[in-house]
Amino acid sequence: MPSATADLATTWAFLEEGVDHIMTKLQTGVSYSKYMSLYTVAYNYCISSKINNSTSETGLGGLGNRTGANLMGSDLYNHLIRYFVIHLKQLRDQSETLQEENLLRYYAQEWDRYTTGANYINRLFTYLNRHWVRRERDEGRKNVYPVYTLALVQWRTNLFVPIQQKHTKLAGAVLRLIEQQRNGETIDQGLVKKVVDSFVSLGLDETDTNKACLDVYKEHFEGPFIAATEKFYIQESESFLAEHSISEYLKKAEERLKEEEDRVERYLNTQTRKVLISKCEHVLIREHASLMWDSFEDLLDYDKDEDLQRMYSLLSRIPEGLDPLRKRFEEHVKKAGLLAISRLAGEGAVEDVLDPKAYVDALLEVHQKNSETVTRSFRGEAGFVASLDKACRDFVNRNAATGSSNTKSPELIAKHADLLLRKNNKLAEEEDLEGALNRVMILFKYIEDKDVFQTFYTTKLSKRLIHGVSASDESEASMISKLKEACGFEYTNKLQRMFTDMSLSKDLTDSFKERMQQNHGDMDITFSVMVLGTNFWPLNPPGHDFVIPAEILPTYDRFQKYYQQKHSGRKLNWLWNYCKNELRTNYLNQKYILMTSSYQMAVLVQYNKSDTLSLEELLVATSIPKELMTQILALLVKAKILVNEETDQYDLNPSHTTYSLKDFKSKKIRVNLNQPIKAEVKTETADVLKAVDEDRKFVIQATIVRIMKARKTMKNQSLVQEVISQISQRFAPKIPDIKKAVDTLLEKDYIERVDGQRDTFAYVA
Amino acid sequence: MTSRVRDSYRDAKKFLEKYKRLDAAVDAYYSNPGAFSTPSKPQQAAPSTSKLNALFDGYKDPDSDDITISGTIKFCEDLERDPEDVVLLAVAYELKSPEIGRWTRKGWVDGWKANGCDSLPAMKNAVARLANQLSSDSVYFRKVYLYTFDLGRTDGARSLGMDSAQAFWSLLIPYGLRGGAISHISSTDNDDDVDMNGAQGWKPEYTDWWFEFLNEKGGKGVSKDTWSMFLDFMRSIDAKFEKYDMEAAWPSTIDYFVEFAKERLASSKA
Repeated sequence: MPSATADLATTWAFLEEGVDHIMTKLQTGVSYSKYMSLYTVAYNYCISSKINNSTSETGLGGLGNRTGANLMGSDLYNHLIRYFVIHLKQLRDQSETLQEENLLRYYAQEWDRYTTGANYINRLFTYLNRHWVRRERDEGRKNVYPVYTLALVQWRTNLFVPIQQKHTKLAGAVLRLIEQQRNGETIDQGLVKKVVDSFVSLGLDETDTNKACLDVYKEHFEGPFIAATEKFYIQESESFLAEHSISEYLKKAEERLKEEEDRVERYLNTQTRKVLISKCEHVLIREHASLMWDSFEDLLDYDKDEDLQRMYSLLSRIPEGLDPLRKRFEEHVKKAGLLAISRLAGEGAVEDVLDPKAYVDALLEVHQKNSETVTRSFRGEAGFVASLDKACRDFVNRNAATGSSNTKSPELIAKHADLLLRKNNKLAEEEDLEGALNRVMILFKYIEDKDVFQTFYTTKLSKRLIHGVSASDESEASMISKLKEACGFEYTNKLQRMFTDMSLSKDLTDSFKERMQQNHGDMDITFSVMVLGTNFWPLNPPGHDFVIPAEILPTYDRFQKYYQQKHSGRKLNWLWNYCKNELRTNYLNQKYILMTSSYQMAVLVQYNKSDTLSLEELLVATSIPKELMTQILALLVKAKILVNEETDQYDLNPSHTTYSLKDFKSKKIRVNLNQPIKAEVKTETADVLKAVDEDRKFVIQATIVRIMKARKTMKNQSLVQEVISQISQRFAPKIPDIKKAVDTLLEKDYIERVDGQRDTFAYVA
Repeated sequence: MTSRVRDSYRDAKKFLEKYKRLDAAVDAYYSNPGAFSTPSKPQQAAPSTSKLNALFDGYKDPDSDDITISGTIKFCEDLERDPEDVVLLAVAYELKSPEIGRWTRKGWVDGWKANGCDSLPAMKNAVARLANQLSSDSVYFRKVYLYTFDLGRTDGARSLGMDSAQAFWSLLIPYGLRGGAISHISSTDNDDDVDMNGAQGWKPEYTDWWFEFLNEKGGKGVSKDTWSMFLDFMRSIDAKFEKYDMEAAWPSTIDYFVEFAKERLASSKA
């Protein structure tokens, strides 16, 4: 061991022997004392400040004075460099003949040995690192490195780069191994990992040697790797698709993506994940996206759930990959909906007789099937839900059954709801009915003109209530609360008031009966009454006169008086057109009970006085208009209550005492004559629609006034937008209708045009 | 933007000539915009109220405070103007006539004074000047046009009767078109970009179509909004009705008319 004051040559000779031992045959071991003496010699050299050596410290002398002594080290450092260069030259020479995996093995093995040794050497020169190297770096000489880093830099310059320069021999060998693995062969992944890791270690951040830097890895490995990956998958996906179906391709792509994720885990730097996966997504998905988009409908048509799911998850990985699917899905659903209805309309032949239940079922079936697809295959993703909703809104409102009418669909759906809520409905079992009502609500959500539904529903409800044919109060209440939930209190307000009127009427009838029993013993008429608020019930009194038959007149008068007493000032309009009566027959051997309308009753009671009456006499006696009267009489004749043997002459059957085959007979004691008259049925729809139209005008105007009152001034365009958005809950207002409402409000001075701005309106307080 | 901005370029120029400096000119313009709009106004002594009163009394209906129909006819004879001359609408505007064939004393005196007249010859001159201004000055035309609606409306009615409306339009539209007061304004920039050749704007036969459309459609009268917007419509519409925006703030009557006119154009081509 050289003395503490030994010169450089002596010192280095001693050190070099030790360094070489560590670097080349560490496995043979280094004794502790040997190591200690190496360390000491290096240390001693560094702390010796020898004036006679100062010549070799040129450039540092002046600066080193700060610490009071020259820092020694540059000679040692330069010797170390020289050693590494020579050492690495030998390693390089041995690698010359090696190829592919053999080269990798050699490289990995030497890398291990070299880095282990370098680690020891680094510690050996701790003092050099800590003082001389640090100061050099502090003073800006960034090409001076701590010893371990120096070793890596030398490896890079003298081994790695020269090998790579020969047709990227090293990285190329790694890439070929990876390709073999992609082709299904088993490779030594540990070897790949070692080599790849060395690339990472060789990166060097010039400003901070402790910082990881991936520039070598990226330049020599990642770039070529990504390029090779791209090439591989372009080639593979194309040839695969040439021979396989899209379904199989979806599976393949999914597997490949998974594999590449695993590859990163196994032997690549994690930073490669992003660029690798996005490259794979591009090649495997984006490049074949239009093929997937085009095959999407087939998959839908054949309900290939799994494939759909796979396509969804693949395309969701690329930007905008799903948009075309959503669009196509929307078209698909719409087409399915339209087809279902046009099939139905084709069967029904005449539009008018389209069965509401069949219509609703057809709509629901399409909705349900596709709704399930969204949940199952598209994970209920919001964009697909929106597509489904949009498509449903389209075909629910406009299809073969509706033609160009916006009101047909709400009408049919409301009629279906009516049928569900009626007595004697096959779905009477509670649970089913509730389910059926919920399904109606699914379609209700899609109806654009909710006001049309509302009006039809109100009309139908009023009929159910006044004819007492509602299935159950609970179901009625349940449906109303569903509507309320969907559209708010205002929407169902009238409906609820109708129920209130019904229960008040029941009490009223009872208390009237009680009073009459006290005052008049002679009431041989059973009477019940409903008093219904004009504003809440869509019912109109008859548009013609009606002579109240003498038989019921006393009851009529008594009730009028009774009611006026109770509620003075209220006006009662009698809706004869909605009344029902039951008449007992005394003129036949068998006693029958005839269930009639008021008009039929008014006609029939005329026969209490005479068995034969002319049309003219009947018209005079009842004041029923001729047109209606002939229909009433036709029905009674058809039921064989009356006979019409001469023109305009109607006789009670039998009008003679002798028995005849044509005599009135019925198997049932109670005979229902109260059939709806055709004209009434037809006008109902027209009336409803007219009511809707009037209502809309009012709603639009009121909305405009409300908006203008809040905003004071507003541009036409935003006003129109605002009106549409506020009203669309109820119905889809048309722009010409909005403009007409604006015209009206301008004329009535609710609003005015702002001076000089013809497209801006102001609220007139 | 106010209608003032659209006042004619000529006026602005005169203000500038007088005041030389732009800011002074603008101030002066806004404090008295009419000062230069009637350049031929005779520079003479203030008109005499008593002379005007005397003239008024000459035409006044003995049973009324106002000049009525017979006085109007006589006055027109003295002015050598047909009572149905369109300039009478401008005169009505100037003298604040409350209804057709009725002139109040106050309106008469104030109106003629403002026009610098207290004698028949001066009035004749003034009327000739108004006739000229009405035909060429679109701002002035607009004022008279809008006043005509109130003039023609019967008491308490919100709208102008269909017959009256068409009669007034027949007077005003051809006159304004001829003199340039209803010249086309390019819709793209809304400035005073006056299209002098007029080929792309309203054509005289369109007025006939408008009447035809109104008669076909029925209805009692023309609302104030339709009346006033119609003038804007005539000035901004292109000759083929192509640039019309159905969703803009036009009254719906005009929307329907555009549909009507488009069909008419299409069928005339076929």
